[in-house]
Amino acid sequence: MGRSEEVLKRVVRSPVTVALVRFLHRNPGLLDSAEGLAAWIGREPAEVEKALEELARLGLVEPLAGARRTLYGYTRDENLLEAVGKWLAGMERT
Amino acid sequence: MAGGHGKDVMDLRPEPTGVPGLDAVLGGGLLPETAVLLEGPPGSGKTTLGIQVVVAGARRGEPGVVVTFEQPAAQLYRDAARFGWDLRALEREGLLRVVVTSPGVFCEELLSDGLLHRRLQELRARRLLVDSLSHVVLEEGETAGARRRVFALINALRGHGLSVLLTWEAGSGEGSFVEYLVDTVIRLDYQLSPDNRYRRLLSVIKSRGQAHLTGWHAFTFGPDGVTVYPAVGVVELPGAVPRTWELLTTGVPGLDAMLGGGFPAGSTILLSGPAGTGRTILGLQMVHHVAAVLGEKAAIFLNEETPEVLTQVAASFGWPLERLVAEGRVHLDFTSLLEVDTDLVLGRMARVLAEWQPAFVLVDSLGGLLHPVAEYQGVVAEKLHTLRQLVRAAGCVAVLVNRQVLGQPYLSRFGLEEAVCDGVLLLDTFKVAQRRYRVIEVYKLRQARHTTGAYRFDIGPAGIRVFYVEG
Repeated sequence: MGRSEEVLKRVVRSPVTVALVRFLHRNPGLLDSAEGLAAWIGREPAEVEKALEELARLGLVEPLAGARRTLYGYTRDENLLEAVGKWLAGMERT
Repeated sequence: MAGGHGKDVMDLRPEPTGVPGLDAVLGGGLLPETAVLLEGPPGSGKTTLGIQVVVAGARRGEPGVVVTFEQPAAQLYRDAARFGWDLRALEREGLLRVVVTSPGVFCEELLSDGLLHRRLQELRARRLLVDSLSHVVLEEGETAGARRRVFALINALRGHGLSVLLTWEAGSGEGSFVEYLVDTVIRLDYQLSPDNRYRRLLSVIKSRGQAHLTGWHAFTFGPDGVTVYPAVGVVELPGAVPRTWELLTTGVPGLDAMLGGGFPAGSTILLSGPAGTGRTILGLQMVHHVAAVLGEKAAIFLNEETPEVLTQVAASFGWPLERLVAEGRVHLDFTSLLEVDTDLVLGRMARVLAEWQPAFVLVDSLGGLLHPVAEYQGVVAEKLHTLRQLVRAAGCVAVLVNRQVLGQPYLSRFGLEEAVCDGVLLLDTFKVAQRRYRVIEVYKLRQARHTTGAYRFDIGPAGIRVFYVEG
């Protein structure tokens, strides 16, 4: 199993990580806090924070040191972006 | 000039906004390093207008950034694509970045030279849209603290050398402290017309350092985005078009002799008469003569009849209107009477006169064109003057078809057209022994030695023929 497949297998374990990846993939220029992301996807900030930690471990989000808090941006890894794009397209078809 | 005062002066030259008509309203365009507030109610076009300005800059090689607090980027990509703006392609070229974030993060990062600040620098951004500033203020309400925060934010953005567009949610007539902090305020709104249709309007409330056009100006959403139609001062023609003629002949047998040779260049002619007297036929005959015989261009602005009916009428006299349009010798602009917006038609006319330079313009009908403002005599006069100014500036001839109501004391609908126009042609009929005759009279024609009195004419297979013989 390739790295991308392994990453996606872990993403689908939680609806919050799925919602986050879907949102980030559609909004690649995002730069926001966990609280801000929670508002964007309509979830509780605490569970979004936990999901972001997991996505950061998987390399799908990039935690960045903001002026007052940690901010998150989407991955720039081309292989991951391609794999996520295919996976989301497949999900939308079904 | 290198550096110093000279450079500053150069830098203050306005840049094109990329929104047709808006530069004229703003008094030249968008001044660099200014903050522009785009305020209006929901759906009034604030975001679209802002994106259009940023995209126009990017297409000129000036990178831009769109910061969105409410609408996801995916939606912006989709909505922009409707107007042919491929935001993703511009992002790939490094000319645009759509940043999805929260108002709090935006302020923190910008005011502390943080991540956002660095992104703006990396991109060398020149134009920035913040959609919307209302979210920044909403976090703490319209307090002194919010005012300080917004003031600092605007200054920080200007300090980056950016032209900043800030959308602001505001109902009709609502003002805000933000209006005082920015350099320019553009208000967008709707107006309910008497027939319950919405008309989109835009007004520049203030514009520091620019002599802008005051008042409300109509705007539309077209396939390429927003187009603004300045209500006054629309005459921005590149000067009179050089003509090879001084008098434009009509090609109507007998009529040119009555006119003293033809219509003088730059004339606006009222063609007035009751229904059924042949006004449209006379207008079409002139269009055909100018385009097919003289080899000049003609433009028709139509609102009562449809192009199909007009083409059929022309064909019945052997005038191939459809072919002349296809060959680019006649420009046909049609708006249903139900949808006429006087400013929009005048705006299109100004563009056609400037870019296409027809020798002859037929407006059929003038009543239809002025119908939306018919309730206000002063506005009718203003629009008529604008039309005449356009024709004079272009140095062409315009014939305005007008329906005269039987028994009315005026020659025209509003009673002022005959005074404003340079010439008046009257068509009429009279009945003798059960037979009806048609007559034409040159009632007025400035700069011409025209005949006086009415002369008979008929409408035959080849069109109108006036029974007038010189001498």
